[in-house]
Amino acid sequence: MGDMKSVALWRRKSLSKLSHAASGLAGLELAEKPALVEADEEFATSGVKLEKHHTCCHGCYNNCPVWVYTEDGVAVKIEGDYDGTLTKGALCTKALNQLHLVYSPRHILHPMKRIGVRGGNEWETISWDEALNLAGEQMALATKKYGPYSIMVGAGGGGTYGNVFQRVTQDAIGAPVCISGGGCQCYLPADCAGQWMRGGSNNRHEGNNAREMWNAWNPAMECVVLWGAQTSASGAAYAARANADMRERGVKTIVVDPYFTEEAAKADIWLPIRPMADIAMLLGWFRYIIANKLYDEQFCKYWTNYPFLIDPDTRLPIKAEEVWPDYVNPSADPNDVYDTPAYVCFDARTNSIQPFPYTLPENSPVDPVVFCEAEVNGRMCKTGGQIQWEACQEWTLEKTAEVTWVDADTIERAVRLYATTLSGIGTGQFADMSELSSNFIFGTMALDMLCGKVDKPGVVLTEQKPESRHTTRPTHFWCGRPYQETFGVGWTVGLTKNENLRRSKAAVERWNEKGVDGLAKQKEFVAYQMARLGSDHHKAVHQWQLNELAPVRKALLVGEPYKISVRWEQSGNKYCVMSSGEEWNKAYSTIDFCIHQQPHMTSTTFEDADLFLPTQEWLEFEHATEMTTQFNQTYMRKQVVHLGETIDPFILVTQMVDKLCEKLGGDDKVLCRDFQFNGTYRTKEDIYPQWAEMFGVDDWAEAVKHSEDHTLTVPIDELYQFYQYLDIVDDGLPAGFATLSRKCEPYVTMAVMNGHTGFPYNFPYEQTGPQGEWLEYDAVCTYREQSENMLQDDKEYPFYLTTGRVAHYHHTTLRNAPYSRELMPVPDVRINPRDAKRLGINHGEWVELSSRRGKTRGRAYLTEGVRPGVVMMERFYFPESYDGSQKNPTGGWRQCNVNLMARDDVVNPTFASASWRGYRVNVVKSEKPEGVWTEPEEFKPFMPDHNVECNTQEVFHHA
Amino acid sequence: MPRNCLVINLDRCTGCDSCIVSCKLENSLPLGIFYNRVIQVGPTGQYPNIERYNLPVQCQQCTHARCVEVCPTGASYRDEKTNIVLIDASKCIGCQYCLYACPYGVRSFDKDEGVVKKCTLCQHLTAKGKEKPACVHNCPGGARFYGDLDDPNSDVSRELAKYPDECIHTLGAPEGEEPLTRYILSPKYATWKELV
Repeated sequence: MGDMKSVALWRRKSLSKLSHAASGLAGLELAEKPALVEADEEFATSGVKLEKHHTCCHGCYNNCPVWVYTEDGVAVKIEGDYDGTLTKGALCTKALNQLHLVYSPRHILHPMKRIGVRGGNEWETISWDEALNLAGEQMALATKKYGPYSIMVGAGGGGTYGNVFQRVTQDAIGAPVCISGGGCQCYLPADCAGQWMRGGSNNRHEGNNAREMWNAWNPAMECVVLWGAQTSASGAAYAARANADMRERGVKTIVVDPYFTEEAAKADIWLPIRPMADIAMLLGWFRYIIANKLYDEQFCKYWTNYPFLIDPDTRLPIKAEEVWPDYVNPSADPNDVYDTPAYVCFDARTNSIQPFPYTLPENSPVDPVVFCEAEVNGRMCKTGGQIQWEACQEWTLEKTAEVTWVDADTIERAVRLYATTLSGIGTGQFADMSELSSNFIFGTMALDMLCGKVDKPGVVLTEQKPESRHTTRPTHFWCGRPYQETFGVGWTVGLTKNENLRRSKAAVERWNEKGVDGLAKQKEFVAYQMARLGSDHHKAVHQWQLNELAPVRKALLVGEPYKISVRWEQSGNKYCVMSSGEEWNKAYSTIDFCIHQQPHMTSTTFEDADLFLPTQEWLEFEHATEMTTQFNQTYMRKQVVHLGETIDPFILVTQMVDKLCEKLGGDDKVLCRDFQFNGTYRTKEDIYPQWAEMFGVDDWAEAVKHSEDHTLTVPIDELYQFYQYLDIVDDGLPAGFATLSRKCEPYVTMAVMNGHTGFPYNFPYEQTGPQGEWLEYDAVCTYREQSENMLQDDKEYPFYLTTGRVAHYHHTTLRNAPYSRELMPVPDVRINPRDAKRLGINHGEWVELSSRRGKTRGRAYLTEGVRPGVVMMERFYFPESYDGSQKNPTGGWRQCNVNLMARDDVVNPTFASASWRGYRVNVVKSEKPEGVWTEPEEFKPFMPDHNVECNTQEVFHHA
Repeated sequence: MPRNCLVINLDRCTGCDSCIVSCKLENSLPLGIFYNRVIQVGPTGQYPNIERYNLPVQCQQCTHARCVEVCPTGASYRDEKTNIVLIDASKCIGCQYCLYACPYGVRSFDKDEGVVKKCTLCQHLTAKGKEKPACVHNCPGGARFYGDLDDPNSDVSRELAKYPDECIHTLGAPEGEEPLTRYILSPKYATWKELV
């Protein structure tokens, strides 16, 4: 690339080359030849080098295994791997379209610097040296002027390769502000619930949980509840395949969804619920199961914390020592390392309150009553079970039917089928994107616990793989990163307070030994943690080191509580995945310098970026651990092609922090430079030995050259591991669960403690509420509605908006994939034909939607699949809006962006989840917006360009 | 002669359109040209008492192929070796009679090349009996099968054998076309609708 000062529109490829690309180029012509089968012979004599490479897709989080064919180094075909345990060769459109994304004329291959004004869309290509210098200087300037809190990181799925590299980068530089369109709105609540309630995984279909329903080898499951889970869209290949196999095996499905999804259409029982009435439905199920004694009483008594009596003031389970100070807990660890508390229950044998030590059920000195209240130390205390019962007591079938708009008989059939079979609840992400996130995930997990659907064949809540079995009392730290070892901060659940304190002190001591004031370093780290905006109100944001969204926007606008100067955006397109786009647009304009790293430019680049750093598409990206596992297989993610100067994001973030330290005058000028290496690496050479060892090969670089399948497979017999909690471990007791009580905690003690002091994130320090007070988060599933709901009479905004997934796109990706766009060029607004008729709207006509916060447009899709009064729309943005052919280029995020109507001003108290769905809207007829392509031929500029610098060397090498 | 065709199990199809994109990439089809489409049939009824299914449609490999009968140049022909209906692009004059004759709308006219195109059952992959058509190979639901209806051990025959007659359907044949493609749809999911 010679002419360094030329103004580039995306890439310096001429239009004539683009049109050439559109008519089909070298690589793809192969397939047009009459027979690929003859190709083997043909190639053998033609001198064209034909190779086959095994790797895995990264079009979403599911990592489906693929074979990629290259011809003289150019990828020409992707097909599914028949040996994928679940996929059996399946691939969805997202995976297949990688051929068009990696060779897309929009895939940026060199760093670029904006010239002219933001939004002017003029760029010049610069070298990596210049790019890193510029970024390093700007970050150093901000740090010197305003401190490290002034560097903000943008995280999120879709086009990024995980989140670990972002978190350790924040930790290294001490920059607390990180926001994500997902996170608090996607999976963080489930991650917490899994850990807090059972010390392990959760019930989400995403994330390799809930796998027992796909157990075709020793099938036990009779029924699965798919609650707001569009598995065939979110797991378009592997889950669709596995679900089809599951249904064929005769597993019954209960689908709870307001929309008639693929899953609903094939369900044995569909509960067509009023959108966001899920908490009422859950409480109806709780009541029915408890009132009809369909729960697993033995499991509740001895393996959950439901029988524990709860202190009405602290809302915490009362420990035996609080009642009987001289009580000697027979299960306590004499070494004071592992924590196995004894609680207080009402004992049916003695008709009195008694200490309830942790033992095997048959050795228990008490017969605990699950649902009751009793006097303890002069106060009436309820059990955890009683508190859940009182929260659901009024939810008779009739009332549940009235509030959820599903008839009582159908609800009863569903709950009976669920409660009387080997079954479990698998959930989708929908409730995370709402104020109800904690209520929903706590409720669904607790229902399975109430029914004893835990850690046994035929249920959802299982912990798998041999390494999940324990030999000591199970413990749990909320993430895999060594905060306790490095900074002495955080609580390991399952260890005693003294042991946690010892570990904290040891960490401080290690700093002291290195000549650094350990206590000061610890305090610096804790101050950085607590500086996360909104974390004083919503303390579970620490789980993923995130911030509440609205306070970040406010900080950008007013500079309070601190100035944010540099934005380092590492996700695709925040304008598409978050609410309040116009407000963010204003807020981001206050940023002094914005760096955007992605494989493709998005609205974010167009509107805000000053520097664009090109990262790799998945055919260019190699890794051994990050996004490489599906079910029981771990794939060697191989770099099949490498274009221009694109870079591995793990290397990029490391090089950037190196440059920042250089500009600041040393590694000691940031919070903890080396902490970044808990997930990142400087060059490939640095990490290859680790990866090679993991896959059992001598040399990674050699191994990836061969057309060999290096997949690591856990044998099925070893994958499925049940009854782990009953293993007798080294203290002579059953292993139990990695929770505070060593039992399942459907009464979510951790949520209560988190609200009070920020536990477990900042121990031995406390983060209380804004006025130093304890905040009280729900501990059981409690009735809530969205602030804007369908029970309200709202003449101004008579419709209710919900959203759903489509199989074609993941987050903000693939909107520049021509073969997807010609199938789904714009977002559908799904609306009931009876509503449409009333409004004079025909199928395929444009409509405008508006909420109290914003408006947007979409194309009407008339379907009886949605309830009258409801509309459903998928998020979207249009990369063609800043195509060179547009007369008035724009960022492409205003035309059809459902999130412009969404809200982040009211959020879930625990998890700070904003509402990307579940609010009131109005719908009127409208016109097609400007700058949007809808006809197949219009997408020609997005067709692939093979005439690029193929198979270039990595930019950064070991010194 | 073999009766090679696709069998599509609608009980397993999720309407994800992977078959369309697989086909387009395998056959380098231009934008706007499709050998197959997926039609959503329904929902019929009134919310919430509704049903629906996805219907992927491509060349049905008719026993009495009207497209072959109306072709003035022999461009649309039945291959002697494989017994399947194909198009010889070198003989196609772009008159598009076949588009009108086909009751299923599965042929496309490529304006740039001036010829009609359609599904070849991926002859370049399947001719030697080793590989499957791309749409079958990659199908997420495992809903698509390829093979000879007359061979009881073929993938298509084995899949059909799992289902009673009431679950097995063909598209309507207004002129007695006798399409080979079989669709499996169990009444517990939805009632088969006669659309042609």
